[in-house]
Amino acid sequence: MHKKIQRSTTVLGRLLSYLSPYRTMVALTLVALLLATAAELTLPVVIKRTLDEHVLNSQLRLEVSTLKEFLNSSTFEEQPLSPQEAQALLQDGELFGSSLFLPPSRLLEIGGELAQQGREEGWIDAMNWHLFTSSPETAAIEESQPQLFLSQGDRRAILSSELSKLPPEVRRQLRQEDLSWLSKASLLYLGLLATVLIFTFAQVYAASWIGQRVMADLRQGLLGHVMGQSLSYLGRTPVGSLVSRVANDVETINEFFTNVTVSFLRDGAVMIGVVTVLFALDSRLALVALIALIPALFLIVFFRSRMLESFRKVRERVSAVNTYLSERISGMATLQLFTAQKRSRQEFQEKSDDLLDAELGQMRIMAVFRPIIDLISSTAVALIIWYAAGLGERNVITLGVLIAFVELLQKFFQPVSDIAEKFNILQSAMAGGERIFKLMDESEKIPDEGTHPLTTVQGNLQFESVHFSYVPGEPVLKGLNFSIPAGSTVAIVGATGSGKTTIANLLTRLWDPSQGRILLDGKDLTTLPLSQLRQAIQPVQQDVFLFAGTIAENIALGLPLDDQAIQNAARLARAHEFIQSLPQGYATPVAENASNLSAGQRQLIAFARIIAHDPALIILDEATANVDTATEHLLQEGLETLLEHRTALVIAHRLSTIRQANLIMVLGHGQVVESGTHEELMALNGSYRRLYEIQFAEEETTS
Amino acid sequence: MPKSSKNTSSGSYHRELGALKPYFARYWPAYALGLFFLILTDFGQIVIPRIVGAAVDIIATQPNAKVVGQRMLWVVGLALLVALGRYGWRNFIIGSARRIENDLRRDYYNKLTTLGPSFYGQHKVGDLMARATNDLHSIRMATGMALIALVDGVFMSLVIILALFINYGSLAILLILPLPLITAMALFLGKLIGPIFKKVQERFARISEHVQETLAGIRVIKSFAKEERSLQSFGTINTEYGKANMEMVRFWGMLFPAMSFIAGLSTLSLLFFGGRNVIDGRLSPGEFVTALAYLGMLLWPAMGAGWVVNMMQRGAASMKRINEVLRQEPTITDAPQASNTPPKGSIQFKNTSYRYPLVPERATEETTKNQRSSSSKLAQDSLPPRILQDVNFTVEQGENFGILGPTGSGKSTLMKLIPRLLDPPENSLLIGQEDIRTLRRNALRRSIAMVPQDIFLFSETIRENILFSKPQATSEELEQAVDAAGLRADLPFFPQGLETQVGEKGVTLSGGQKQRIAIARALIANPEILLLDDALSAVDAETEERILENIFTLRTGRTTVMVSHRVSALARCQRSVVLEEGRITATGTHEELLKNSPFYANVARLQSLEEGMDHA
Repeated sequence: MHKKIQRSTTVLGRLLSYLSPYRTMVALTLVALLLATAAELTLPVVIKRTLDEHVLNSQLRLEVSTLKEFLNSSTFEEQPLSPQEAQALLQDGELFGSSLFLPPSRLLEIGGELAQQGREEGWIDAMNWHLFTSSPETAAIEESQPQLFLSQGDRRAILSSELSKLPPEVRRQLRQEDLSWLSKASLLYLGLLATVLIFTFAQVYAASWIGQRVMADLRQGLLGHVMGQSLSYLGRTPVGSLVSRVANDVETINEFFTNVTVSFLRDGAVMIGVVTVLFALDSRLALVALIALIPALFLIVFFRSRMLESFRKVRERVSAVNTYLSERISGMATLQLFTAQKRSRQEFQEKSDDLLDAELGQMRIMAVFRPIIDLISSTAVALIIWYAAGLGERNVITLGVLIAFVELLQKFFQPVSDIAEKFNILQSAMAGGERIFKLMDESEKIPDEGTHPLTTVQGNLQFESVHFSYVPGEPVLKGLNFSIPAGSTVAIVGATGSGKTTIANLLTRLWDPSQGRILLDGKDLTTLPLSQLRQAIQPVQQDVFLFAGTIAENIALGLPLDDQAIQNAARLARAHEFIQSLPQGYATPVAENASNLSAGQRQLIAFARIIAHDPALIILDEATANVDTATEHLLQEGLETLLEHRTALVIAHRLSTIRQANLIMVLGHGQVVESGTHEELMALNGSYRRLYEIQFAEEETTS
Repeated sequence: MPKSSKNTSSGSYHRELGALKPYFARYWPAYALGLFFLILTDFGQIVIPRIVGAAVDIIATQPNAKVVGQRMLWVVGLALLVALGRYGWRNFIIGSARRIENDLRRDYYNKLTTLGPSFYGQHKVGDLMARATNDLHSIRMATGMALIALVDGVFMSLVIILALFINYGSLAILLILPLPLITAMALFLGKLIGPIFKKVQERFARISEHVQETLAGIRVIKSFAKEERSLQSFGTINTEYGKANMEMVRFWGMLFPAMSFIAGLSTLSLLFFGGRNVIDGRLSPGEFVTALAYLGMLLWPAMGAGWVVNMMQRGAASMKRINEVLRQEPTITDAPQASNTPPKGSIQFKNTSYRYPLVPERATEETTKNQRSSSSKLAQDSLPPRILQDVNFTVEQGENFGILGPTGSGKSTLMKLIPRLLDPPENSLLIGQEDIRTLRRNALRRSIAMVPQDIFLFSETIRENILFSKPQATSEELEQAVDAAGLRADLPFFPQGLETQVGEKGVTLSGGQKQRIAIARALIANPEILLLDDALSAVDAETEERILENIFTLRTGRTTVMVSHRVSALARCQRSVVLEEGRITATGTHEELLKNSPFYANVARLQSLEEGMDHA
């Protein structure tokens, strides 16, 4: 468990290090996030203030004489107000002769029980009052019912209970000031809404921008890293898994940055903000709210591992179903050929049912978790209102505070109820990150430390006691010694597994010899820059690989060749004719898996590619295996001219291909067993002759 | 295409979703219970704010902790009811949606196992996988969450709007006025996002494709030192993908903030107009609080409405794609009274001709091509060419029979007709005097094992792959097949021998190794007829000789038909045919063919290094 946490913190650290180039944008995101959250939390506060100060706007009436007594008293420890507090109230309140008017919240600031006490002792009026300024509009009502009002200059006071008996139009007239404050508060509210809108969008946009950059950086780095690995590594590692690292796992990292990190930050900001605002509004109610949070925390602790486990199970089984399905779809013909449909249906049904079980398990956990969180949230509201009612009995809470609390509590529980989904994304992002960094930490490169630049390549090739094995303990080449003079064509023959293809792989440094060295024009291959070496020595491989793109692009493979040069190469390779007959000629796109070309045609294109690149040394690796004999014959003609100017190593099964070679080497068990021309080897009466006779035994008996 | 689908969209949605009826029928009691729980939940949710509002009024006028406490107990009780209801609807409705998905997935796969090569030729694996994953997912959403949101949204909004109108009169209009805007916006942006979303997906696919292709062709890239170039173009693809994503963020990122903004306008309208009404006494503070809570509750249906519409549309579109597969009729079917006895005896081709059936997609491609090329070609190209023409020959029972022909002459087509992977015309292909079209395909195929040109192995162990054709085979049979296929010599090269995992999660095999495993798989079934379609092309002549020798010895008395490019291999057969441009140009023994077939003789001559020079 400890190890696991440590591992995920390293993954997290490495992930975050990808943010460093984008510090400014990260800072902007955070600022936008904070502003948006702050504005959002201010919204209920505005409603609270507006309600308390302008919509309700009730005032308490205090006896000035009592306050003055407090002011002058020397035994102020026993009285509800200290002289300083009484002095402050006298300054803050509005004086109407012997009465002082104050908003209830002003008394709450001094002490929660103060208003209650004042009412009981009689120096605060039991009823609430409203204040307003007299104006021509209010003159009519003031004159018709003067007994309702207290006056001080142009200010008037009226009992709340009397006010509520008046008709609405009259009340509106009396409360002109409050109405205009209400309009201002509404404007403020609108401004805050706009602030939330702008900064939320800015934050989403900036976070996505960063996510996209990080993804591109990660992908570019990953592919570069993978491509740099040696072929022995790439041969072992299935392409599909590498593709899903670069494509899908990086995508979950994006989720991590744009979704998880941001929402955790936001949720954190909201929750801290709510608690802060709650305490600022009323610390007793805030405590009650925090107590309600405790069961929610227990619930999360209790469910967390169960939820993560259920999510993991679902992911695993989804992938089991998908792997099975994609395999069987690809191999449907094989499946039907061996009449395995019924068996396969059962297998699929089992996997699918397993997935259903996991999904239902996850659903049940969520079906318990989320409603309980909602229940806790509702209970918290109920608790607050009940507690507030108790406070209300003693007149120590304003309605606005209560409303703000109900609003804020809902915001507070929002992040808690979808915490499970966020944990899930976090977990899969971590898993993806772990896989990506594991891949990045694996390194098996062919060292490219060559410093001697190749200028003109002659093409002299020399193997000096070269040893090699793909698997330790299973040598393929055992002290191979031979040299090829520039310009000559050498054929290598031998049984499967005798090491023919290995020679080609060592020459292009797809692998390096485990012992011995290979020299090109007298220079060890490892002392040459890798890319120059590979431009000088080029193979045509057994399995021709064509890239998505046109045929012309596949021949040029990035060289800046004009159409003429490409066509010339194709002519030499005898590929021109069939390419011309294709619907779009050289511009014909190569279909998926090159399925629009026959195996032979693909070989011809590969030949044209080599001719276009004009290397000093070429390797034909069983290149003719897939071409029918007639086509191969055509190809031979084209190649003959090409071979004249360069060193060529030919690895082919068909003896007809080998006949023209200057030298034939017979490879057996990792060593050169025989070498010489066809005639010399026939005369030698050894392995070559035996190989030859197996293939042509039938003809010799008939002719 | 898109035009016609748009015109009939609403009608076709019904039709497509109608296909779900039998599935719904299976789970209707669960759905009914789920809906009951949903309504229960909604009831509780609507009543709670009223009690809270009343309590606030009590606090505002004559605070009484005892009375309020009793009310709050009611609230807790209702909250419990709501929690129970939520548990209920999740369990019953979401559970049923999962079950329907599972049923659909099963039916989809079962259908796939009945469809033949012509279907798989038209549908890529990726596309069929997308249907099984993305489409099933959106159907699940449509039958689960979207359905819940629909019922919940309609019920809640109707009741709340009604309550608002009864309690607040004309003020209600002002309050809910902004809410339809949210729905409209969700719908509008949903439409706008559609094409961008598609673009993002396409560009994401380009990323996978590029990585896939680069790594599959890594030998070529390294050999030609093109790493930099490949990385550069990957950089471009990455940037493009990022751009498309940002384009989407411009809409998507705006959607939720804008919806919250509009929802805020609703609260603003309550503050302004409702506040005035509280001031002039037409509204009590408690009613103000209740309205605030109700507006919060209306928000979700307003946001959800757009989502529901999008989900339902997507679900219907997905169902259409699933239906396409489920309604697919296999092009090759068993005759009604087909025999279930595996055939035995000679294989007889009688005037067999074959052309690939015209498939709709290909036909349109063909026409566009023709518009570009000359009009005279049009008639020729509109029908696919005949691959085989009047093929006549018989392979006797127990014979080893060879086929030679240039690339594209129809050899593989010929081989695929025998197990009815392709459908031969009636009465043109007989095994043991029976037209293979009168046999059940499974019966026919029990007599046949084939090693095709493009071999498919499953990502399982080598042993499992070999046993695929006969899971109950004994270990002696396994050993025998491994030996005969020449696979024994490969085993030391596999890290765990026969238990080595192959494919995506295991080792990468060479072409020759794949062929030998596939041969072992075919041999272990010990079929009456063995078909080898160029099955030894990747091994050298010596090894091919040895493997053929083993196979023929092991299969004495049973029939083997093989395609090969090597005359030396064909010479081991009793008889061979030469196939050129879909026609049989010669039949006979090796010696007869050397005399009678110019093509066969030419190939033999080329392969034997020009006779004259041999003894020079």
